[in-house]
Amino acid sequence: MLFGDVVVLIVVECLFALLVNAIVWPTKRSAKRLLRRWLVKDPTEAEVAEALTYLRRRRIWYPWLFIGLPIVFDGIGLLSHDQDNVWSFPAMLLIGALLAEMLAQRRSPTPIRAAIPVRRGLTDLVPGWALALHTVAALGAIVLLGGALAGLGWARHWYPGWSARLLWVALAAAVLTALVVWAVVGLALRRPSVAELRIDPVLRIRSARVPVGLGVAVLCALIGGGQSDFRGGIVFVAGLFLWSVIARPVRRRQRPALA
Amino acid sequence: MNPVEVVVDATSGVAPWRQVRDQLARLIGSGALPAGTRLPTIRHLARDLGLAAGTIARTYRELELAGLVETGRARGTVVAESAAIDPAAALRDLARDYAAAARALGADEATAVAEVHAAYQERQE
Repeated sequence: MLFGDVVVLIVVECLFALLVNAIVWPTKRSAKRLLRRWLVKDPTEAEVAEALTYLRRRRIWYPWLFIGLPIVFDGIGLLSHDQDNVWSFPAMLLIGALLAEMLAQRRSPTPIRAAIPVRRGLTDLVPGWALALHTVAALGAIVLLGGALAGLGWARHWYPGWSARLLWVALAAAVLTALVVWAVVGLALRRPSVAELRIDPVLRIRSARVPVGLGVAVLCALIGGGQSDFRGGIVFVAGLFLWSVIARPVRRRQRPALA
Repeated sequence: MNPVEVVVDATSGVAPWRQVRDQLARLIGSGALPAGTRLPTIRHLARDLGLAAGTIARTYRELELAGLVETGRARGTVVAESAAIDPAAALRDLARDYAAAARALGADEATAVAEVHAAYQERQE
């Protein structure tokens, strides 16, 4: 590729990133909508501002990840061009969530800080069954892909026609997905409280449940991807359904004593 | 409904551990944190409030000495079964603190009482 072509490509990609940013960039309205969707009644201005910061911490990464990840995938020869765009979307959401949670670990500079003096655990953020499901999906994907790489008949049969390179890539994707999801959940549990305590548990729960649901969907796709018939389709659709169930707003009576 | 909360003001002049201890004691005494409630781990609460772990450890020790909490290896720090709820005593403490703060601001008794009345009206709306 000529130098001039590279410069043009970079400029076009940056302009596209700015355009995507303008579309997904959250506003007060979208922050209010998020709080209402997650059952926060009559959010105050301060709570909306807090939710806006929460959304911006995530979405600021999306355009750059969406553009950068295919370049990285392609550059290191991981995936072919038509495959890397499919995986860029979930990778963008998960890595965006991880970066946002890392940013949120910083303490607030204000001299007044508040906390809810009740212990919070993993299952206060994500139901036990969802955590178990994610673990099973991760183990399932890793065992199947690892088994196929090791040449085990029953596993190899599940991924007919997949090259060793593709199996390695899929295995790495499964392991990384599981690790990133656990990291996001751990960071969501650990991070300091936001100033508006009424919405603190809600934002934590959302931060944890959405990646767990997405992780289950990605892992199911990696499992189902081996089969081109209805079996693969069922696993794939099941993953999407479980994502929607796990990531949906928690009904008030299901909310833990944190709020 | 607003969650139960502990607030630390680094500019108040009162030691942070004392602020946390007094607030937790008040919440326990009023029943807002009932017996058996598991308090956050020292590290979690320290991180949430931006304090050193040693500060929270001291707070929990003070509360344990006062019989308000119990600490066990497996279950962590929990509000003690024997932590008696005495709303009257809690109210007296709050009134004393409020009266001192109102006096420091130069407010007379009638003004201070009027503000309390207004705050109750606001809550009911």
